Amino acid sequence: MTSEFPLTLEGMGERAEERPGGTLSLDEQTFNEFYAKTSPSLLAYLSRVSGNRTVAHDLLQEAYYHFLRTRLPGMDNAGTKSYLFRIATNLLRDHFRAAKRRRLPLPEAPPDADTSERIQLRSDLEPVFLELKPRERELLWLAYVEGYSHQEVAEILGLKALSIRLLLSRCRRKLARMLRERGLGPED
Amino acid sequence: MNFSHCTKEQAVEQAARSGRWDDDLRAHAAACSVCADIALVVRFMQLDGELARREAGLPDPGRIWWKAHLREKQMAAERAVRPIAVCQRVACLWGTLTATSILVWEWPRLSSRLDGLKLLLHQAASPGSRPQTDLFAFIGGSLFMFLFSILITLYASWAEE
Repeated sequence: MTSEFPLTLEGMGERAEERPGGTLSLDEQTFNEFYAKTSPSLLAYLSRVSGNRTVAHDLLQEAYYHFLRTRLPGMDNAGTKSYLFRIATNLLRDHFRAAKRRRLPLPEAPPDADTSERIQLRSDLEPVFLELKPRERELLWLAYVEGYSHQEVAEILGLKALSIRLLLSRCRRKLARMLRERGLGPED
Repeated sequence: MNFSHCTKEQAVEQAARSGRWDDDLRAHAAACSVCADIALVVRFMQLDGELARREAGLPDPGRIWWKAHLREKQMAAERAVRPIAVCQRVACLWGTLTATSILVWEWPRLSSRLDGLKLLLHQAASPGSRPQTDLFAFIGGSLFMFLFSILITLYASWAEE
């Protein structure tokens, strides 16, 4: 796959903590283990928030690259994972900014040729989610798919913890309304 | 209970996540708009999350690690040669400034020499002075080549950056 995003430091929100030398923060084996644990959920997050699987793959690689360049002093597994999501969120934000300027790939339309149940379900759900703003998608995904607390969501998104409850409540109401309008609510 | 907040939010969220509802909570979620939204959204997000994870065709981690490793090496090399590039730029700038200063400083003398050259060229244009014409063509050509090579060097130096 050709990378749309060359591996540069643009978009990295954690410059101060990057390693100055020419070595990576993890050896290959440790990285492989960490990758196996974190990559499915990270790719799902990037895929749904960006709305484009090609972009998601590029951002995934970019996120791990930045992660490998970063010092991780005394972080536990949960902290390390949320730090990775924070990097990915910053990259997503840069992607959306660049997309506005340069008209990068927009969210993909769901495939309509495949009739399998899973794809059918996805084609029902994905368009609804993509109608939300990127920030709203990030919030809902981190809170309800990844199960992060309000404090953790605030740290990942770079927001105040107090505002998360209100923002989440608004997003939830909006998504619930959209789902009901499309007949995806429980009473339908 | 009010429109945006309900004390049973957490319990409803947990129940929606796990799928384990008791009758009271289910009845409450049906009646409370906040909790109804939570139940619906959590169920939707769980389903979409599961779908997204199953779709994942993950890139090879070894490839990512090596790509990062090579990129890191490349950046380290770039950092190492950065001072050389800076020195080259400073030298180019310094050379250009010196040449310009000399040209400005020596302009009166050069001007008189050019007047002399004009006279010689005028004489060369007259019949029977072939050897002098060849000499001036040679000097002019050399001067042109010299200036051209300086321009090419400067261009190559800046293009490298």
